[in-house]
Formats: sequence, structure tokens, C-alpha cells
Amino acid sequence: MTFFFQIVIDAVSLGSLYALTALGIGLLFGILRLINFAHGNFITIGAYALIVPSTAVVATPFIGAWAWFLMIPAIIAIVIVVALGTERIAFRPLRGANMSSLLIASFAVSYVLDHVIILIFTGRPKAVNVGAELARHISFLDLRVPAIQLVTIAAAIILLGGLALFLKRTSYGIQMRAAAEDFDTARLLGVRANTVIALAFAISGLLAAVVSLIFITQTGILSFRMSLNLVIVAFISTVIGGIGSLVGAAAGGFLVGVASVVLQTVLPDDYKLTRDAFVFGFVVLVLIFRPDGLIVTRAVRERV
Amino acid sequence: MIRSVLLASGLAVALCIGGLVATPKASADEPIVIGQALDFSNWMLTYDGQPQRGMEIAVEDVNAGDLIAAEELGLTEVNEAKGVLGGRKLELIKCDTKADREQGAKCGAEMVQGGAKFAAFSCDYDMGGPAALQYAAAGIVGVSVCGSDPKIGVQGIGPTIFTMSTAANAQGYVLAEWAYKQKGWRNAYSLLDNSIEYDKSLCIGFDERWEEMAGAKLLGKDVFKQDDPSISAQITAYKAISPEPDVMMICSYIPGGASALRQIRAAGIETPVLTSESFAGQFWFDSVPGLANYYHGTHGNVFSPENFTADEKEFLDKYQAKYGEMPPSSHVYLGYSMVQAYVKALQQAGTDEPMEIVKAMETFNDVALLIGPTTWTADTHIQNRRPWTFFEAQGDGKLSFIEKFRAEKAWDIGQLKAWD
Repeated sequence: MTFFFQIVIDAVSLGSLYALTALGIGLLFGILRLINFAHGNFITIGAYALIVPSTAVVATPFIGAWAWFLMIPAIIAIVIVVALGTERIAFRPLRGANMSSLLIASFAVSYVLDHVIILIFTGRPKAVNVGAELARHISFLDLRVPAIQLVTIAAAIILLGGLALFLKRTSYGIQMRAAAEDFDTARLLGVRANTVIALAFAISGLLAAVVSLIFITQTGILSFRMSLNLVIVAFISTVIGGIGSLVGAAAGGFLVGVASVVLQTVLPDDYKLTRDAFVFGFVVLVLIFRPDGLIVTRAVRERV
Repeated sequence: MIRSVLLASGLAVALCIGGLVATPKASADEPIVIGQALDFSNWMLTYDGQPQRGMEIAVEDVNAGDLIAAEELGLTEVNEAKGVLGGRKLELIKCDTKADREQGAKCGAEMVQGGAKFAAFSCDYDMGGPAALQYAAAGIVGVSVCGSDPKIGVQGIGPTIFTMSTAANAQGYVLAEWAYKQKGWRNAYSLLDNSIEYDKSLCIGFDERWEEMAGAKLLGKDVFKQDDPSISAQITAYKAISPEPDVMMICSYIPGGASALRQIRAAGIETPVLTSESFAGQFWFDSVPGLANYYHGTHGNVFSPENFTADEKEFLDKYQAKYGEMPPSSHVYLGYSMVQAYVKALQQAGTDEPMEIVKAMETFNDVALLIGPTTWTADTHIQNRRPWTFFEAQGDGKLSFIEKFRAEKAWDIGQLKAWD
């Protein structure tokens, strides 16, 4: 029974991490039809920001050495600035361009940001020990759970809830939802495009920063490719969830995380090597039965 | 129009090649060119970067008449002549593969066009293969600076292709024998990161050798992926194993391996952990605070000054003088040794003709290069029983030298043929 609960917590926490990443991608897609592959770079930059300005082989953390109540806002602020910067420099000039141009632009942004990291920090991974207390396990009843897993789950609940409240209850939130439904009509009704889009980028930056802190606490090591897998999984999650739907993106991320952990546990040894094939097989199944994803949005239907 | 442009460029290429072929035999004072199609900037830098520097130092040494271990290698005349084959200087040409396969192929071709008859390629079959294929096609000698996949060589790429490193399976053998004989462990567990071929071959070697030895049991094994954000499911499964294994073999590399180890230790699992060369040094130790019960086998010693051999010390002094720091991993010795091997083969063959160099290299039998005794034969262009250097970390944040250890049983490359 303990084993079972242990697996449940493993699954829920990985699902939460994927959900948080998928949410950042889903948000921008909903409003801009932008599949932002540079989202992974936001996560990476948040993690590297911990060691700036050290570029030594064994890096000395600077922001990473601050107390958590200073470090967390600092990292969030840095990632938000980077996200807004990419919007202003790369995506704003492409406003109104079709989806594929935007996608390619996001690849370009991602490529540039990757290489900025390589240029400054080289391709060699760097260790950074942040939140070691959180990485450690805590015991309750018979369970031994790393605190970071509980933090991940809590962060997902708080950010999802906060985002839902923001979108439902605030004027900016309502403008964002309107823009996501029908951007042109929303503009005709007085929604300011620049503000809404910048806000969406800022929120996706915030989500990326949180993911990056959780991720680095868990893994303790920086590499410029660290978030590649995360962002691919998150993209797939938004597809399963129903492209354009925030709840769908979060649910999709959650499902993929849970499926990975469950398969890792139940597959016989010889099949564990092919775990991801099963995970993505499951994705295909979902899409066969629900081709538009779990939650279908009007925006997508009109465009198909 | 397009066709005529193609024709014209085809002709131009043909002329260029013709020009290369028609070049008169190099004169005695022309430098001998060594190519480096390596990653100078991307993630493979962790592995390629150090051998690259080792080669730089070796080339400078040859040209200055200061080659390390010249006497033991029978190369005193190289030092006297300050050059090979009667005083010819060595020259390096470089191309950055950026850990990109296509760029690797371009770099390989660039080395061939640059006149190299002996050239280095990246540390890994997947990443170094494209450049190596160019070398093989052009019939020049290609040597991987630290590729450990046994497919690098005669069987996988071509008869002129070698690697400086020890086969991953043979690394698994020596780790298994050391754990069994020197530590007396009997119950093992292996954790495989199946994202690259090296890791798979390493764990196959370890598991195979472990189960051959009397009384040794493999209590379990599991897999994860290099970029898995969490290995909590594997940890949960490990904790259910009874009795607790004596040793956990992790076949992975940095960064994913460090991340896995951080999570394992954070989970309160203090089982001794064994890793191989791909955990490359101690630069990542901050990822696993207070890392203890950690055992690491690799090519050589750059960490424990009190245990340096005279040759290692001489080399490291030169390294420090040139780069102002100590090398982060012993892969640096592989680069120096590669040039030593080439110089020895050149002197032995009396020419730089690639096929003659290959023949000379295939006669190497425990030749004492800086990295250690090196043997190549007609069908084994990789090391299968070079001594392995063992270290431990016991919570003091650094690797401490234990010993050099040579496996009793050599891994047989014949097994590679069986997979094909």
C-alpha cells in the first residue's frame, strides 16, 4: 500500500511539472497561435541566472546563494524580462503572420538563446546546488517523499488556481480570454493588443521561472539542453489537452507525467527501455478517440 | 543553366581533387598535418575539449624537442631532431563540429582537404562517426580522442579508424572485477541511462562480467533517460529491493547522471555507487552535496597530486603553464597519447603514408603511452584491457586516488561481430 501511495505521489508530482510547463506554452498558443519552442530557453535561462556572473568550470552561485525570498523573485523577474524581450524583438514584428512563420521564428529565438548560453558558459554542464533541503526526503506515516515533489504539486495547484482566478475575475484576464477566443473582434471592442500579448508573455515567463527553480532543485545541474525534453513533452501535452485550452494543457501535461511514471513502474524490465514508445502510443490513442484533444476550443475548430 | 553550373562546379571539384592527388611528394621540411574535427563549442566539449588541449601540448612538445617519455617509447631521435621523420614539424588544423553530425561530415572533409593524413574525431560513435566516415573514405588514419563504443574501428567504420579509449564493455568488465575483488561486493544493481550507445555497452559489460563471477548476484536493474526530469519511480522501485544491494552501478553521463545521483542520495539511499569515465571528474560535485560512498573508474589520475607518476606530473606542469588551471578530467591524457602514438608509428614506418601508419599502429603491444599501456591489433582498434584508475569521494567534495587496476579478463571484440 505504501508502495502504491509512493507511486501516486511520484506520478502526481511529475504530472504537475509537465502541467506547469504545458501551461506556459498553452497560454501563448491560445492568444497568439504561437507554439513557443523558446519556452524551454526561458526555463534554461532561469536556471543559469542562478550562477551569473560566474562562468568557471565549477561555478559559484551569485543569485543562487541569496535567501530564497530574494532568489525566487529575482529569477522570476529575470525570466519575465527575457520573455518580454523576445516578444518585443522577435515576435511583435511578426504580429499577424501565419502560424508556421511564428513557429519558425520561435525556433530561431530558441537557437539564438541556446547559443548565447553556449557563448557565455560553454557547452559543459555546470553543477549548482540550490534548495538542497527541499531535495531531501521527508517522512510521514510510512511514506518517504522528497519535499520538492510536494512543492511541485503545491506550485501547480497555486499557479493553476491563480491563473484561473486572474482570467475569470480581472479585467485583464477577461481581455486575454477575449483575445484568445477571437483576437480581431476583441481588438474592435477596445482590447489593447500590445498589453494583452505582453501580459501573456510575462505570465509564461513567470511559469517558466517556477519550472526552472523546481527543475534545478531536483536535478542540481545546468546544461543548455536541460529543458529540451520538458518542452517537447509540454508541447505534446497541449496537443492532447486540446490546443488553445489552458485547462486542457494542464490536464494533458498531468496525464503524460502520470502515464510515464505508471509505465516506468509496471512495464517488465525488457520493455522499460521503450517506455516512451508506450507513452506516445497512449498519446496516439487519445488523439484517435479525441482528434481535437481532450478539451476542444472554438478557436481551434474554426481554424481546422 | 543549372545543369551547366553543376557541370562547371563538378569539373572544378574534379580539378581540385586532381590537383591534390598530383601534388608532388611532401618535401622533408614540410610540416606533417594533424587534423582535429572536434567539438570546440557545444555539449561534446565536456569530452572533446580536454583531449584537444592534450594534443596541442604534444604537438608543441614534439616541435620543441621535449616529448614526454621519449626514451621509454624509443623516440629520443624525435626530441633530438625537434621533429618527426628527420625533423619535420607537426602542425594542427582544426574544425569545430559543434556536436552536429552534418557539421562533423563537413569538418572531416575539411581535414582531408587540408592535407591531414592523420586526424582526430569526436569522442562518440554517433557524434564522431560522420567525420570518421570522411577519413575512412579518403583512406587517411582517423582516431577518436575518447570514443568508447567498440563500433569505432575496423568493424564499424573502416580499416584506418582507431580510438584511443577503452571499449565501454571492457570498462564494464574492469569495474565489475574491481568491485568484486577489491571491495568484496557480491550483490549488485545496475541503473542504465539508455540514451546513448556507450551507456548500454557499459552496463552490458558490467552485468555480463558480474554474473560470471562466483557468488556474485545482480539483484536488479532499471533504466532511465538522460533528460528525465525525475527518476522518482526508479528510486521507489529500488527501495523495494531486498536485501539492499552492496553496490549500484550507474551507466550514464553528465548532466543526467549527476541529476540521477542527486535524487538517489536525497532519497536517503547511501549504497556505494560505481561510475565510469563518462562521469568525467569532479566538476559536477556541487550537484550532490556531501557526496560519499562514491567510486569512480576512469582513464587516469589528474586529481590526486601525491599519486602522479613522473610523466603525469611533467605533463600537468606543462598544462598548467599553458592554460593556467588543472585539467578537469583525465581525458586530457588521451590527446597527448594520440600524438605520441602517431609519432611512434611515423618513426616506425619511416613514412606518413596512412596504410603504413595503420600497420605500425597495429603492432603496438602494451606501448607505454602517457595514458597507459596501449595495444592495437589488426581487428581490435580499441583498448580492451588497459588498467583503469579508481577513485573515491567520501564527503570531502573531491576524488581521492585508490589504485590502478587491470582486469583479468579482456573483453573480446568478437562479441561485437555476433551482434551485427
